[in-house]
Amino acid sequence: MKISVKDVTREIKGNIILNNINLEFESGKIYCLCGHNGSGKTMLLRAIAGLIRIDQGEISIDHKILHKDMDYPPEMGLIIETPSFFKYYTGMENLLYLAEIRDKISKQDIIETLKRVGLDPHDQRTVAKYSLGMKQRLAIAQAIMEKPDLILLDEPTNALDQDAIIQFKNIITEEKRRNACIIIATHNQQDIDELFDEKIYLNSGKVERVEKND
Amino acid sequence: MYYKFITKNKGILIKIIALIALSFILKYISHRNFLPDSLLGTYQMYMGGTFLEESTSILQIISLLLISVLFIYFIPYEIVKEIKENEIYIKYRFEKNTKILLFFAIKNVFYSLFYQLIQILIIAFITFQFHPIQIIGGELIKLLITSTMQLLIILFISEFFLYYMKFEIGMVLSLLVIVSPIIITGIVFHNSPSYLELCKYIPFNHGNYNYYYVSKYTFYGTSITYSVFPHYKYVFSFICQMIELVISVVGLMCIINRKDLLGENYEN
Repeated sequence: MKISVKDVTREIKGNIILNNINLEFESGKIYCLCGHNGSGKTMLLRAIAGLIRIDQGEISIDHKILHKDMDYPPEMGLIIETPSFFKYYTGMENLLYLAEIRDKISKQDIIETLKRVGLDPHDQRTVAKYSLGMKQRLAIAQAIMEKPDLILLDEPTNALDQDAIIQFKNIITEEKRRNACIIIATHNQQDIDELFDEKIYLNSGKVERVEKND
Repeated sequence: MYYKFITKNKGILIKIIALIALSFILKYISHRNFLPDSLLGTYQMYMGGTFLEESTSILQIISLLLISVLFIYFIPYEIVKEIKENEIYIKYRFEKNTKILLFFAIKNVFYSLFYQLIQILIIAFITFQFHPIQIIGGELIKLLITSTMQLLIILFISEFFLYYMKFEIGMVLSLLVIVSPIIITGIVFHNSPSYLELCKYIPFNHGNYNYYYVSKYTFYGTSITYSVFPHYKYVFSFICQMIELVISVVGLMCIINRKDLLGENYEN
């Protein structure tokens, strides 16, 4: 998979949120979008996810242009902002509901994914009773459960404790080995710094610099 | 598949049954325990919408409002809530926005047919002791088509409002669509019945079968249904309903397509 972001600009209510962004992403690599709050990393992630339209430029995935040849990138796993789920379903029921839309994975796959993120598949508590950290783990589970080619994660380590961060690192490394393209937006990359192949620093909607990890 | 759908959505289906029971009780009480002496008459009373004479009654309008609030809260709001609660995860999994519309459409058709089926079964049950099983006539088929179309239009329109706006505003606008044509017809009927025929041009009035059938018996000698051509009134009504349905579906599709709704809350 190859993602090309060409001359992407996005303006909201007079503010330029993304300013002429040019980037390329490939399979089997982990990218970090770094920057302070308001630097545009979440908007860039959303633009790649197809959740917002861009004012100028184009985003293509394997030479297919987003919003022209497709509504959303195919085979995508995503976490954007605060995880939201059906409050009165259990974690398992939530994932079963989402999995049914594409109908690609079995119940056993979901059970294994829940175990991978450190949640109990047989936990009968509803999501309303989950802690923030558990909701975040569930969000990670929904993003990876269908083994997507593209994984977009916005602040995935929010509310995770040290054990969960170690588990998260293992999961991301396994996903990379599976040849997925992983883009993580974070303002606090120290915890997972060693994961990244490339770090893209954004400031006021512009790419400030790109650092490659050798 | 249907069994799976029913077991998964049994909450809504139970609410539909309760809602129909309540609407039947309200109708039965408001007609002073009157039960029509024919099968078609019973279907018209419970499924044909508001009678012309009822349009002027404030109690009937309140009763209609109560049923409509519950209907919107139980069905379209539940469907929209399901999408909205984790909209992002659901949206990209459908890949194409038309599939989300299809998701809405399947649920709407299923719930409308279920709603109609339950009503038919209840009416068959309450009229069974008085009448033998009768062959369904052409009028009954027209009534079923009209009322099913009306349910679908209301579902799509209220989903449009509820998906785009806050619950309270969406609910009020949906109620306006349901109740205002009946109130306007009631006002015209009460104050200047000679203009009653014009009421058939009011949008969302065409699903009210009783306006097109029973109103010809009104003592005022005027009728919404007047037409020099036989069956024209039904053709006209059906075409208008089709147009309303298409407009409501296209409206919902446009709202689903507004992906930028998700882009407004950017980081500051």
